Amino acid sequence: MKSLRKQLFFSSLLLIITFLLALSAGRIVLPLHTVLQFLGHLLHLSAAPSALATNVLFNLRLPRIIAAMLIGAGLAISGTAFQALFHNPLVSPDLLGVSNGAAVGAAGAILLGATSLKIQGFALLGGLLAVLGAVLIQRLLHTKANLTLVLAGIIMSGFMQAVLGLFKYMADPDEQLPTITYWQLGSLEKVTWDSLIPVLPALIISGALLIAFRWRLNVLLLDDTEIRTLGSHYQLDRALVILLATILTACSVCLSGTIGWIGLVIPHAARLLIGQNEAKVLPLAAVLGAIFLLLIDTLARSLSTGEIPLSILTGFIGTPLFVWLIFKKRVNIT
Amino acid sequence: MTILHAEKLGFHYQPEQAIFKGLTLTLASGEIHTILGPNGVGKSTLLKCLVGVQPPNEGQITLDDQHLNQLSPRQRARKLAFVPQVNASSTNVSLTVFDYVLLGRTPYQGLLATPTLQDRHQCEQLLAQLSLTAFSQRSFAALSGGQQQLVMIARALLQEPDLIILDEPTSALDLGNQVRVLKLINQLQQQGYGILLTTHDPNLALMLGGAVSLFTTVGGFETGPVQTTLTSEKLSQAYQTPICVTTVAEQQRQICFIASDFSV
Repeated sequence: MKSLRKQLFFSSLLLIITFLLALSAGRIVLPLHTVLQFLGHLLHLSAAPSALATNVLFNLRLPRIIAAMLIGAGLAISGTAFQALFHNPLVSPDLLGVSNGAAVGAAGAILLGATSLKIQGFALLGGLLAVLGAVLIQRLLHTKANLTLVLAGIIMSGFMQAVLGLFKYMADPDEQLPTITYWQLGSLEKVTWDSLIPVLPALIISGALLIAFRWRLNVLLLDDTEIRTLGSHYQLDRALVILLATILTACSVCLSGTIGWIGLVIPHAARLLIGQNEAKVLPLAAVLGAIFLLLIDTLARSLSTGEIPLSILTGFIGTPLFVWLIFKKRVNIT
Repeated sequence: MTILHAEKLGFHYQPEQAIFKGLTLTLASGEIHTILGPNGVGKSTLLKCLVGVQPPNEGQITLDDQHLNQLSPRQRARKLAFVPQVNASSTNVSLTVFDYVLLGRTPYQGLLATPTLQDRHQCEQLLAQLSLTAFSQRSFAALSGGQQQLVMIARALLQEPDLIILDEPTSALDLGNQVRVLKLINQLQQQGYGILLTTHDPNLALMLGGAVSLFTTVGGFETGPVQTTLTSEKLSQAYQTPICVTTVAEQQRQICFIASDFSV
């Protein structure tokens, strides 16, 4: 097991390489020196490349690449946080209904014929409301146990799926239904500076706060009595993690649609590399998640002339990866 | 000098079924106090009340004249440390021993802070003092029960508390490890920590000395020095079994044994 610093160095290096490759790959393949010239120009170091290259790089690829990295990192760290908080290695960030809620919001907006920016807003709202609903259900049950919250999340997810089913049933099968289905499979095709910038602050702030909170996640691994006698404000710490992870996931999902596997698999990959210490897992998972989604999204837009939905690729790559991880860690999955 | 005082404590899940009632006890720095009683009389519940996790239904608990529930968890944790029982729910944590013990610094950390170099150094020193350095990079979950118990005590010590409350610290251990833990507890008392522990083994209380509180099955509660509280008569009544307390001449120590006839 190498130290965190070494792991972060190598994975960041890999991220930079992936970033350069992603800028260069696509329907129009741009040579690496053009990409570097473009980056130099952004930093006011060199002259701009051709107008076409600048347009493709700045307006099409850069916002999409930034979104892919942030969403990958966001899903990975909220997955890590939830797995630690709920003492359950099989939990993913949509445990409390964020993804299904966001899908309902998006589907509702599509039915209303809204623009893509509005769809994004509705998705964000839907995701946040679903988690709020789950928390309220837990309150109604008058317990503070983690397991009831999980149950409330399952209830909320189930309900949201029913609403989604209804919306799909009501949708116009030629126009709206494919749009809803496509949204649910996840894609970064529609990401532009205009859609990215409104959620960027919330995404970055909640992500940064969660990373700053990383050491406390280790405390939350213990049982209730221990957490409280160690001087942690248990309810507050837990609420903070849920709030931050929810904002992070909702902001991610509203940009990209639902993307499976990242929040589940990447934390385990990070743990395999660095051990169980969540304070180290969290930053590493962020970088690995960024690499993974950037790679997937680059494949999605370069493999064929059409766009391949992200969840298809994360599923095809994530499933065997997960099987392999479980195989490698079989002692630790309990 | 820190004093934890519980006055006329009462606890019940249902009003007609009191777990305990009118219970008064005091723990000060440098003292040792053993809570003794059969299974299911509320020892663990009492501990949860004393560490501030479970509010009692009646009575009040003060820590240095301040109400326990008015102190923040962080303030409490700087004076009062809790060592839970070694069992599945508290031990299924695969942090390394070092990272696990380091959690004892929680009461000194800001919400968004990570332990400083000094915290880590302090943790290393403590592990060395307790001869646990060899284990420091091992997974906590993979340790034996005895090692886990010592590591949990180490975590409590890193909180730099004045008082340490331990829930059945020897119940999961073999004899050799029991003695190791008992010696450590004795040492800690001599260093000035106030120690309160539960057990269902009267011999443990006889070995540790100090004060003892005896829960009896009928809901009674008696506190006093070990010599006068742990008599054959009172123990027999508490455990509803003939128990005899006697002095072993060679050791100059009191022990208790079960005096009933096993040949049925």
